[in-house]
Amino acid sequence: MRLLLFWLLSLICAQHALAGAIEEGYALLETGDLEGATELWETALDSGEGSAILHYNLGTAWYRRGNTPRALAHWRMGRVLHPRDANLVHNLAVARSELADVIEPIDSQPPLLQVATVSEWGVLGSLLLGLASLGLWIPLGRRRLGKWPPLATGVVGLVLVWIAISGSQHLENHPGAVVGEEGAFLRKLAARHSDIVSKLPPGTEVGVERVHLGFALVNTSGESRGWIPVGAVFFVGQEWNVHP
Amino acid sequence: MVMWVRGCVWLMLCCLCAPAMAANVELRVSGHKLQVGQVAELRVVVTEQRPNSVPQVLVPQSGLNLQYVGQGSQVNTYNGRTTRIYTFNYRIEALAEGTFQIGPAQVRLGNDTLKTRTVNLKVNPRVQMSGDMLEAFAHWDVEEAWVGQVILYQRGLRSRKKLRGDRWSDLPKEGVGFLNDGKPKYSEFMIADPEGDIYNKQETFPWIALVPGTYKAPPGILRVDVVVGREGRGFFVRHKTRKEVLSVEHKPLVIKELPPAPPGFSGLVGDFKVRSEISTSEATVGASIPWVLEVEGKGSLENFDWSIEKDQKGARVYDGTPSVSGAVIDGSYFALARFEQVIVPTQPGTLALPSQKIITFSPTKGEYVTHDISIPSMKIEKGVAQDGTFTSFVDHLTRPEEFQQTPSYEGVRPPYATGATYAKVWGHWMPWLAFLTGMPMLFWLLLSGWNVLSEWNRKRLAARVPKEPDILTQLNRLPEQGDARLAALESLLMRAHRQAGLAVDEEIQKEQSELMALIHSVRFGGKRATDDLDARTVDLIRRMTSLRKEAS
Repeated sequence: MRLLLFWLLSLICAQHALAGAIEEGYALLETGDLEGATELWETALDSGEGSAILHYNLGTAWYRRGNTPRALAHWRMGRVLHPRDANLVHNLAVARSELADVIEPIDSQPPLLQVATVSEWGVLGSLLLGLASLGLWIPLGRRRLGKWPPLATGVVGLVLVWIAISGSQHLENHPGAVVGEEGAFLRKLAARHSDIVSKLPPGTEVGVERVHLGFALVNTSGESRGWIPVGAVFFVGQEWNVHP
Repeated sequence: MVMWVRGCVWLMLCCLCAPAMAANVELRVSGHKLQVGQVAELRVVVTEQRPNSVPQVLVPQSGLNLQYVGQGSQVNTYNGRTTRIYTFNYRIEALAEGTFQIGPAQVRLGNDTLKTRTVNLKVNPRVQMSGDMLEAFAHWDVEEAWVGQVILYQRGLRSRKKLRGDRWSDLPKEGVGFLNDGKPKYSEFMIADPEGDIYNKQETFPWIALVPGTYKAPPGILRVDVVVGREGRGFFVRHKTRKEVLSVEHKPLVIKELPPAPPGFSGLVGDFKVRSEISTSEATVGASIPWVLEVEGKGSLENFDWSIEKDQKGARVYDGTPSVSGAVIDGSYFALARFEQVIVPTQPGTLALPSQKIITFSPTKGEYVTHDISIPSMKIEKGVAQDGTFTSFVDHLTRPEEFQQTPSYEGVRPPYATGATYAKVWGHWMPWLAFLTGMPMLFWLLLSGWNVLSEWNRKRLAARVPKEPDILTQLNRLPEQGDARLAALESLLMRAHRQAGLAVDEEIQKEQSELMALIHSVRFGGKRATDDLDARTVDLIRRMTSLRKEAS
């Protein structure tokens, strides 16, 4: 019990310590120290799973530093974590509009996950399942409602949980990827000297099918498909820049 | 009720469609060449919105007589989109020879007044025409053309007789080519003449002159079925026709090479006008300023593309999607190219983009023409919102014109000043959380399933056990005599009493007890059975059975 309490307290303390990073970075940004703010926020990101706010601020900082592809990747990751953030969606759209040579982006975030996050769908589904369980087991509820309303609630809960789990699996196994500032060659095979299918300009958003030997098999909206080195792209999925 | 629901659905659809539709007005005249005394039809067509009143059509004071005839409306549905069309019909009578301009027609729609284009009408002196007139014509609209010039090939027929069908020979194709954007125009109309109505049918094909040279096309051959009478009676009546063949000689077409082109020639051949429009003269840094460039005129704009260098001093210019359209209107081919671009100022001050030019070749002048595109300078301020529209290319890079937004602000929004950097994603824990909360429900479902299965199994097993015959059947199968008969009677008496239950009154109860005692004394006490014991017992069993039936 004491161990659990200690763990909880240390978690809360760590969160408070990290929470200051946003304010500190913002203060640096106010003084014009873009590099300092970026470095601070990158450090915070490396120390744990970054929040939507952290990715949003990082995207804005990278954008101001002229690295639009990296900004795009951070904003997309931010949208995975908080899809209803209007600022994120706006900045993402502005950044996309500025990449004139880029083909139409492939958005690997399923439509339902652009409404709510995996966690939100899952918690809602679990709550409904809990309500259904109570309705079925508590005699008073059973007498008043009968068995069908709790059962229907349970079915809806199951569907929502399924959405959460399948969305989570999708983001983990088939994340999106944004081509970095160097651009990347799309190759026929997962090898350095394989034939080139096309060159993907910086900021191209592609869908990832799988990863093999340091290369990711990706597809683009132009219906071309091929391999690119994993180091040339930023992965946007369940976690920041983690490939399957 | 059903009608009410349908009405509501229709109203909802209309409301949903309304914002996407814009009213459009058009002036149409059947026949652009008349003779004195002839009458043509004139129509004002309004789509989507009912005008407040009958449109006013401007016509010259003398030479023409315009008369309003009536109006009609229709609803067209195409690809799920419904279009409502209101048509206002007029008769226009040619009173004197000359060339007249008709229109514009003014249409009042709500608080707005829309105007149509004008139409030219040529009235020739009256010529005596035969009563059975049947004429064909086929010609180019010009005798000489330049390479790249759009030329129209027109053919058709005029007849006072009724026609059942017509077929033309092949079109002349030497030295010319198709226009992808310009579709042929077909029209049929009637002109009222004092000596009898004249049926007109015209086809206009827009072509582009391609190869220099002189071309004499073979004569155009028209085969028509002229109605000469009727055959049959009642339902079986049909037209009697006669085939006629008409031949039309073509004049030669001369296609000339263009003179040596100046540097920067756009490749456009035609008489064009260029219009450049910027909606505002003041803006803020980062705001989007729409800039529309339109090239319009008589000539082809196919494959014409125009753009300005993206990076300009003090601004960036983004290309929109160009739209090019062309059509045959009033006997001429018109094309319009519209380039929508967005200027995004990058620094405060006065923004003056360099003037641009488009060089075209004018067939009417026979020389190259330079169109200057002047871009007015703009005052750019920093950080203060100004009137203007902000074009946000939301989510997609194509068709940005669909995403017009009213607010204006700097491109990318600023970062958050405060917030948490750490976010816990519950994705991995979700199956366990769901399992915990859903486990009672799952257990309930399993239990319910088990109960259902058990009940089903019990019924299945019960169905296997043979049914005991009812009491009356057993009475008929009693042993003939002796102790076995008495034992069976005793058993049936007890069973009948048990089944009758509360329906048994005191008297029967008493009788049943008495008979049971008698049977016992006979079977186990060594007494002799009375003569009526058997009959009384059977009678009582029957009565108790009937009592049970009545009670149930």
